[in-house]
Amino acid sequence: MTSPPAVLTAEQGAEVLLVEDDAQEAELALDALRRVRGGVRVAVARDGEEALDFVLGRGGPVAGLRLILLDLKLPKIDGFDVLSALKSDAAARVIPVVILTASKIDQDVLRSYRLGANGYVVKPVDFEEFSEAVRRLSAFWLVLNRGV
Amino acid sequence: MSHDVRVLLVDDHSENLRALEAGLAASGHRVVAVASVPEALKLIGEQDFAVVLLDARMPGMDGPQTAELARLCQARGTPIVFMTDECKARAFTDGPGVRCSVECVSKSHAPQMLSAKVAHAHVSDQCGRFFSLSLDMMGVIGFDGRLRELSDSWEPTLGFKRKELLGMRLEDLIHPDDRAAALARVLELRAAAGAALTWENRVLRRDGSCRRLLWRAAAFERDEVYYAAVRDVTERWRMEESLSGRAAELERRVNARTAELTAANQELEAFAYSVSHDLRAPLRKIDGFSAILERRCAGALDEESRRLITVIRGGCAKMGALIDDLLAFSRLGRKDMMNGDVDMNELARTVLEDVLKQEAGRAVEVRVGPLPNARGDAAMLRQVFFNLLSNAFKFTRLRKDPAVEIGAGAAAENECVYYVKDNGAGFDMRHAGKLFGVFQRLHASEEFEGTGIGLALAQRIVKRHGGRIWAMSAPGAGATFSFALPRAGKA
Repeated sequence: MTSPPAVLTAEQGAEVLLVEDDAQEAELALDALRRVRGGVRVAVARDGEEALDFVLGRGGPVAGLRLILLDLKLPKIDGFDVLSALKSDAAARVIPVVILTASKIDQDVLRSYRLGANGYVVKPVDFEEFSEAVRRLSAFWLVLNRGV
Repeated sequence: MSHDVRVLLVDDHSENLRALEAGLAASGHRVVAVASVPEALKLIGEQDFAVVLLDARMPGMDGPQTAELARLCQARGTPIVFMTDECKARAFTDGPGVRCSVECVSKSHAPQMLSAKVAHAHVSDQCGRFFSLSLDMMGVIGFDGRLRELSDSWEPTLGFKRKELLGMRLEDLIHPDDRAAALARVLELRAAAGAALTWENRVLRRDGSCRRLLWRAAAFERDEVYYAAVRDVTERWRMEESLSGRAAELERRVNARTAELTAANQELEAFAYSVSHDLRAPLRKIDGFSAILERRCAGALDEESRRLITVIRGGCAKMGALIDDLLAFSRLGRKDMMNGDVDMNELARTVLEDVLKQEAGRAVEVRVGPLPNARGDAAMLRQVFFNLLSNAFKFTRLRKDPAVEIGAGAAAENECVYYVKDNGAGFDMRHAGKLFGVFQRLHASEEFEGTGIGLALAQRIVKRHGGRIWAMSAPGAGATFSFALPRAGKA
């Protein structure tokens, strides 16, 4: 039996940052990430401010951060603004950002891609589907970035 | 212009007679010349003349025979023109009781002038009858702007007696606000050289109230007059004004109502959308944590516990489907429609492929008839076909010889009818009203799965295309779903 991966801080060398305000949603996402082959080191930010602070707060992007899973509906600074800030930062812009949201609205999809999102996943109700989507996407970007 | 006018010329001086006869004949008139009133009387009893020219200074001019001549002329409506060196017409009109059309012409005038007068007398005579019959107002207005001749119909319109109007200046009748424009039109008439112009202006009645007149007038340079046929269009004008006022008011109201409806509609759509969204989040948790629980306790769970978790997750899946459908339904209202010519044959073919893929392994006899093109949103119409066809496949599942047919109805002038027919379970027409409602189902979900949104969605799409959709069926006898769309090419 495996538990969800421990939530790490920036200093602990997280590879994936999950930005999700709902603790249980985060737990489900972590459960999905746990199944990424070879394991993955995940950090969680509870709102937009925390996310930006995590990524850019130390004078530059966290070393080793290879993927950001970003919810759109977030307290304080919403997902679009986080995305916009990340993609405006010369160094952080290379970190792939995948939007993980409940919104199917065309405008949201379009706006996300215009702001530089690297992927857009509508959270399905079905957990296996959701799990599979998160797992595949993360694996794709991680493989790409780890340079196997 | 040929004046084919018979003129009776009465003059006792033969040289005058000949000179005038020659002059008038040269102008194209047919002249019958006599030297005395009795001769004239005899002729006028036998023949028709358009005009009688009478020397005013003949012997016996004040006698009973002249009076008789005048009476005859009056009875026949033949104008008499008295020729004199000075105008003495008044004496005759007052004297022998001449009340018919009397003109007075100086003999010293050139025959051409006389000719014009004769022609005018004739025209006046013939037209005079129309003049008095006309429902419209007829008028002759001098180049000096004064009213020369008017039909009686002016009286009720303007509230002035005809006599009062004669000699009045046209300008004084016209509404001050319209005066400049109307006078400009009158001046244009002379530039138009006889061509008729049309305009409208308001005039003032005696009581100061206002009427709107439609003018059609032409200048007649030789007589230095304008001829005008004038119609009172006040009622029509008022009606138009009030109609356009009402139309504007109606349009304003329609716009306001449309805005209200649009706002209400948008609110409703937004509500449905956010509800659908927000319902998904807890559902995702129920399903997700049930799955995790099932996995964590995989070894510890007995069969019944596993079944219970399966039921929970089945419920989640069902509700997820309902929410997705609701979302699709509400999105449809917000979606902009593309409008183009749609090849319905191609559409039906590709939809059929998709449905066959979905229903793989089933042997269904499918027929697709030739379908006329439609005008509308191809993606939306595709959805209609997909829903109808999926239903047809679904409800024939219990048949041994399932058959589905796609076809077009009889051609109508302004719409095309398409249908999807099956030999499946059918339904009781008593429940037909429920068919197209959201989440309405006529069959138990154990029997035939589905959320009950498909037909509602189809109806919404067809309605957005300005069409209609209906169904005919009987239990066990299959069903035919038809929809009609406005004809292609009639944008």
